Amino acid sequence: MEKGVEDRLVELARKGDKVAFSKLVTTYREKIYNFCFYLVSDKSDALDITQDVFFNAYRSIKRFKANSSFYTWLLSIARNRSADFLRRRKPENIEDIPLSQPDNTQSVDDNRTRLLVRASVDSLPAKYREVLVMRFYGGLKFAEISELTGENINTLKTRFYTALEHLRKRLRRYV
Amino acid sequence: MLCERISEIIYRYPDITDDEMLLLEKHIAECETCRDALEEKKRVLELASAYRPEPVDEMEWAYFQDALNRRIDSLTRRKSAVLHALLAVETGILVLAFGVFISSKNRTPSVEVTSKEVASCEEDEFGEALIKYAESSFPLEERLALLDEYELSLLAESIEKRCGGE
Ligand SMILES: [Zn+2]
Repeated sequence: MEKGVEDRLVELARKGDKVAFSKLVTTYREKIYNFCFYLVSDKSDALDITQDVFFNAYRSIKRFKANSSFYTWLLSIARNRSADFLRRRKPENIEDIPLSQPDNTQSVDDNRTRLLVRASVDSLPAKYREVLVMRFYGGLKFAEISELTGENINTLKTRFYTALEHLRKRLRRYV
Repeated sequence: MLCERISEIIYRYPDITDDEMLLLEKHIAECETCRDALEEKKRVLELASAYRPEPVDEMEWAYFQDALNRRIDSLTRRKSAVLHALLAVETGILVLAFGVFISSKNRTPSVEVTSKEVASCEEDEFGEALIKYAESSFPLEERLALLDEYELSLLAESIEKRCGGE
């Protein structure tokens, strides 16, 4: 969405315009859902959190500073909501997720890929998973992640490379 | 020596500089160990990026939108109930609105004023009544979040007008 159009929609939404707000929802819902999905690895949980994100965004839109990016602001809400959710969720034993043994075929089917990578991403501590999701899956720059999390860029980089190394160690048998 | 430097570059791959990329390409042309390490890293990244979120179809998004709209509408209704009570303060009569029944999320919220209390505007009583008001019905945090800047200024103004300067 063009920045000027978005600014105008945000301005209208701040005044309580529900139609303008729902245009913003339509624009960003999928990106926010994807982000939450990578963090919580479950479709229905990710959809619930996404709804909470937009509900809270509507409630607190007056606190959004017009000079920052609306998308980044939504991401920061999504990040907090997902973290709350993960704290509440009983940790599941990822070793229990069945992983099929590597076979001779070169291609990896979707379901198996999902299970394999999901198990690897899930096994990362929250701080590592978060930076992996933002950088690798979300394509955010380290500077943007730093702005979102308040963490130092070098710390984030170290975590990101460590997270990738963790994936490499877990997935190397399957590639 | 060089292999150590290269393996550090592979560790950060693909977050590497153009110079590092050149160095890497030159090195793997002649070192099999590092070439294999880079290949493995590339395949792992490829596998990891094949992991996509489960898709949400149009129908599911429509349900999503309906549910969100219902929550927003009920918020607006509650907000106007709060504003209504604040305006009652403005007239000098403090209406304590108890029993704001928000039952299940599927039901339309209704606001019922079951108790009225006329309070004079002595500071303590006003404060007490305000706290009571703030404590009733919704959690305090949620209640405060219901107020926007205009409503808060209205509240502050009425407190000042009724109780200030005495
Ligand atoms: Zn080498």
